[in-house]
Amino acid sequence: MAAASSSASPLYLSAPLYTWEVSGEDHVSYDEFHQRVLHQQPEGFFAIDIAKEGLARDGLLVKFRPVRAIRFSPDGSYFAYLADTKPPTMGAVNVLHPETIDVPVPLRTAGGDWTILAFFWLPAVYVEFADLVVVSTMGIDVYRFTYDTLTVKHLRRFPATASICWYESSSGFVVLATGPRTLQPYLLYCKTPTKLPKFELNLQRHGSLEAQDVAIMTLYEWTFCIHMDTMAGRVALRSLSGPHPADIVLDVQGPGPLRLSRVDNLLVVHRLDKCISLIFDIKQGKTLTPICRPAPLAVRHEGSGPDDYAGGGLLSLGSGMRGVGVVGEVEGHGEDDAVSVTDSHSSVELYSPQWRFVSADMIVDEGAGVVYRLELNMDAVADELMQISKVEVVRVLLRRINCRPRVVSTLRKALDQQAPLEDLALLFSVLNQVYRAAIERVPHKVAAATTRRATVSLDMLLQFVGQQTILTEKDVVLEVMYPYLLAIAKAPPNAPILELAYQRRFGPPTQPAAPAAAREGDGGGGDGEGEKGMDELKSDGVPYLMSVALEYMRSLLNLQILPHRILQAFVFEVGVFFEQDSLLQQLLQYHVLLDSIDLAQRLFGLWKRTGYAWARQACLDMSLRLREWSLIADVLIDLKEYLDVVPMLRRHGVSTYPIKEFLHKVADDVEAQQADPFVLPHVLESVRAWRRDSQENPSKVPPPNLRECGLWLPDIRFGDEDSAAPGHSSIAGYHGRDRPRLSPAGISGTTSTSNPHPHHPHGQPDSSKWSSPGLSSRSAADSPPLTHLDHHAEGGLGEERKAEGGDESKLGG
Amino acid sequence: MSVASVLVFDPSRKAHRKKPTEEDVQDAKIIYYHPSGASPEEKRQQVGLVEGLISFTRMFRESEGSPAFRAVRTQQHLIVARECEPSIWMAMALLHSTTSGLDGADATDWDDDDVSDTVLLALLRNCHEVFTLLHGRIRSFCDRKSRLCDLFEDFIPAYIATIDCSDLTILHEMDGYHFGPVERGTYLAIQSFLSVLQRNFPVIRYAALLYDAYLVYSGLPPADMRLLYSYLVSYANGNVSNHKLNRRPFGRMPTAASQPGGGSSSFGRVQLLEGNEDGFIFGPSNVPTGSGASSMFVPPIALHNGSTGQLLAFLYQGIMLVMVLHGGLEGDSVDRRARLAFDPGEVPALHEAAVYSPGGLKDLLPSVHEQFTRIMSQEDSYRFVYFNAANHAVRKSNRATASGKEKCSSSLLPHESHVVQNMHAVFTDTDPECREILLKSSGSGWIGGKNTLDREFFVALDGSNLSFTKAQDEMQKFGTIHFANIFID
Repeated sequence: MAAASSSASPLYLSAPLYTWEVSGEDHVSYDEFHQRVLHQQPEGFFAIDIAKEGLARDGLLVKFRPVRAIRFSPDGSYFAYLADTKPPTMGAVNVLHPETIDVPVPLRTAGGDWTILAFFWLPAVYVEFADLVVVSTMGIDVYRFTYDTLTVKHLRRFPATASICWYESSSGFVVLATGPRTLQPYLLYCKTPTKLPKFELNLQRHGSLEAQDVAIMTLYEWTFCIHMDTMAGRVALRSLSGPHPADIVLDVQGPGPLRLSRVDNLLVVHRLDKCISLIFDIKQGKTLTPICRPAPLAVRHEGSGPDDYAGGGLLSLGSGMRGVGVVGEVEGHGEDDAVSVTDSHSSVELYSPQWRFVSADMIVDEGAGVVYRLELNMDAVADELMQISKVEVVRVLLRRINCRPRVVSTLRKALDQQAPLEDLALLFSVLNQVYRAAIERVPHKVAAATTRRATVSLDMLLQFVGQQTILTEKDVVLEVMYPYLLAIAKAPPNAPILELAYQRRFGPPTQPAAPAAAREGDGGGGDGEGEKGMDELKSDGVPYLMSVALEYMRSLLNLQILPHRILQAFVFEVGVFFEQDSLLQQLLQYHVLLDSIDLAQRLFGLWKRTGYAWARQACLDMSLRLREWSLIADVLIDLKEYLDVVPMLRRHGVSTYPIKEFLHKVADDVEAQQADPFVLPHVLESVRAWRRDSQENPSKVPPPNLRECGLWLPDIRFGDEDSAAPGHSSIAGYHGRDRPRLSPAGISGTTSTSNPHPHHPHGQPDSSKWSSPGLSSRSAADSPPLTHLDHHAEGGLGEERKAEGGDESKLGG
Repeated sequence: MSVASVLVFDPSRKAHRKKPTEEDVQDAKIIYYHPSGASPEEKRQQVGLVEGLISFTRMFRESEGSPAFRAVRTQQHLIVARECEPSIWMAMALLHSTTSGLDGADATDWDDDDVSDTVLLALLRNCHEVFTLLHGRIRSFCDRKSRLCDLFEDFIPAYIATIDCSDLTILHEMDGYHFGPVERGTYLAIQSFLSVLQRNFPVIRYAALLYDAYLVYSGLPPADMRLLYSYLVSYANGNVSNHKLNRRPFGRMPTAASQPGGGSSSFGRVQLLEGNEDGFIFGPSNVPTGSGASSMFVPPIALHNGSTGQLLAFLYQGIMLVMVLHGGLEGDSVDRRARLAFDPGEVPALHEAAVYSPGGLKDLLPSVHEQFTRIMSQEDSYRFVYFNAANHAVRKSNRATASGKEKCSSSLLPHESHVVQNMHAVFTDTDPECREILLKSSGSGWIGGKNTLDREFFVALDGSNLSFTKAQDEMQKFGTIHFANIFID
């Protein structure tokens, strides 16, 4: 994606979604519910699905007489119409049989002079029927249309004398002007339709209320009645949902005609006289100012793709100018003809008086015969906000949909510029609050379905949030921190961190510098980053990247999200890379790095490469808590503590570990046997004793896994040798574990870490007072429980994320 | 037992004279001798004795690298020696305590004190390490013997004054940290705070945070942290206190001569604090009389990686923040070309930021205090000593000993401590293959010791009538309570 220039307009008109030859007989409207452009012609009307692409968009032609308005039912199989007869008539008509199935709506009137102001369908609650709301100068009537019986029944009436009405069908709010400045709201889309408290508008003296002065709009989770005071030059928002949020007043740069739009929950105020648009984000805070400078709309230009609104894709126009855009022509409006759009150039008169703002983001240019959608250029918005604060950028981006790449890019920029840790802490806090909220939105039943604990898998979370912008630990590690590390290490893309770390520690000068192109590819180059990287590599204290990763981890823990293993693996590997051994020890000691098989394996690998006793000890302790006996056995075998292996397995009742593996290793160690000729006999005797005791008292002493041990223990041949240990048909319990594979941030090569210990959620006995790896703590503290959030990673990142019942105090030792 | 003499000598040093006498040869080897007022003859005798013992025991060494002479006990003395730097030996002679004989003043009984050689060797090692920390390696002074003598003349007596031979325990030999119990969120908050502080004040090279003298976070290299911890807060009996250096026999006033380049040692010198009040230990004076560099006491220190730094530390409500500043010192010796490498005026701002900035010590204190107190206030159910060589964690139980009518604050009684010292010697020296010992002496309870993969612990069981089986059960119970999460083979 090309970077947007700072002068790019933040708002633009889409390519024409629909065009028509303007004539006096055509009437074009928009059905927001179904995202259909309705084009009425003498012989019928076209319903064009503008949300769809290609042939699917073509829609259909319904042969029906011209009427004042048409609204499709929630299921799309019927439409309601309003005919300008005297008195007005309404009906519900089958889309496929418009001539034969036309069910009249029994409008309830008391005679006299009345008119219908509006009508709309409420969102469907049941598939059997749909509710139709008719607003007239005499009040509101709700009718129920039953599909099967083709009946329309009057349900409810709210009598009121109204001159104007406004509504939002998706939320079911209707507001009536019941006096010169009095508005009466109703909520109809709920169990019991309700009349809400009325309120007065603060109008200028001699001011009068017009239909275009008020709108109902849902922004985020709140629905507002919005009053555009064109005389005073301000826009006032009152929440219809309740006292929260409090009333909001926006300054829109002086008096003048105004129109409103909503794009991705941003409120857009169009100054028709000045030909500019102001963008507000009501979640910005108490003092609301436009999130970027007021600018005229741009027009998408020929050849630009759906996201290509930069680098010449758009033409930004000044006030009152006419721009060149892509205009499609509808060809072949016949019943059987496809509606195709071809590109041609035509001028667009921006903010034309002929524009009708037909829904939140749709504009119909009745003069030119074109339907546009208003779209947002988030790159331009982000660029402008970036000049103010990165936190604000992230905050705004996280409220938008599909902005993950932009948030990633913002974070990368922050790291590249070595932003202060305080700023990053704030940034992570903003990021993770949204993350946490997204996790919480996953219904508990759904979350719990996959695991025994109250956890949420990453896949499920991502499916659930859909297009919402969130950044998971995986995104932050793989797309922000890991590329940054590669850049400062001048390593090629996808280089495994541990390999880099060991090369740095022991090997010849690390990998040759990656080709420039490769470095650019991972976003590393430029801005003296090389020098910064060198500084960081030579730094005495905690390296910047490590501090950033820990700050991110802290932010997650503060929100009671247990960091995903990919982050934990990354912190560990970065610690090894920067030779922060002491810090790593402390992170393990204080259980900042949580127990997992991945980590235990990495510790094993570190011990093997460095000989660090602390790594070995941490590996053993962690393996014990995880009941990962084979890893413990491997450590003991590596230490040549052969005599300890069988007692350890026996003490813990391990029937899965294949004794033959161990015996092979002892037998192969000629040196050890030369030093102590009794070592193998001793081992064999301990195995025999275990077997004997198990046979005598199987309920207390689980048997050893002696499969294929007959070579060393002839007396068991045709007995235990060929039989598997109870509960295990083979040595499957063992071979699931591999040696740690060196991989970037633990990206590959891990196995399931489901808790092998049934009683302890995290493989940690909860009765323990001194946690690993030592003894200076006295007892597990009763700290507030963490939210159980379990995440699944994709692509071999490790299948499961653990939940933990409580944060323990751990110390020392 | 008391320290009779301390000897530092270099057997490889030659006399400058063309035809040196035997006395000249011996004198040339002596770098320093305490008491300095001792006669030359006595000094030569001591050097000759230790050198002779070294030469003699060298014949029985198992390998070239293994230590030769370590200790010898005579009726009156215990002499320990250690090659603290290549070809530089430190030796310490300790005089056994005495009890008067029954039949008159002439008959004196010399007690063979219950202090193991290894503990005294640890004392010697610590003496050298602290000197090296504060002044650099002895070898770096080789061309300025008089300068070195001046430093030793101040350092050694001051160091000896801090030794309480009656209270030397195995914990002195173990030389580890008491880790402070806080939750991981608090630990990360501390780490974050110190990272921010270091970035805002780049003069800080390393930082560590202690609460009530328990180590909570360290950004220093482990070897340096261990030594600093030992120097700043740790006593030879394993007790720790934030105010150690402010109390007798430490608590020496900083003087002009103790500043870098002066002739005195900075050992035991701190900015004095009244009682348990907060303030700088190293840094500007807590008495508002002076300002600027003259009232600043930031002793230079030598780090294990060969570089140097300057110590800045202060107390805030039980928290000790220790910072090693970029030193601006060059060369091998700390005293050589030492100078302040930062603007003293920056220190108050640093202190202000450390305490009062968001997320600073003031914000951290409640959670640190609450979590620490919650854990530490629980009384242990056993009396024990624990050491983990992998991370140098040390713990001794807070359960008081009951000896007759007395209650002693120490976790082990003196005779138990002696047994533990011997067990430790078996585990580490005599028989490293030995894993477990359970021992009972008449009139006292069982003492169990276990040594497993870098961890050692010793448990003193109360009750002298406990059977062996019951004692074994108790040991197992101890292990079950405390090591369920830890791999104790």
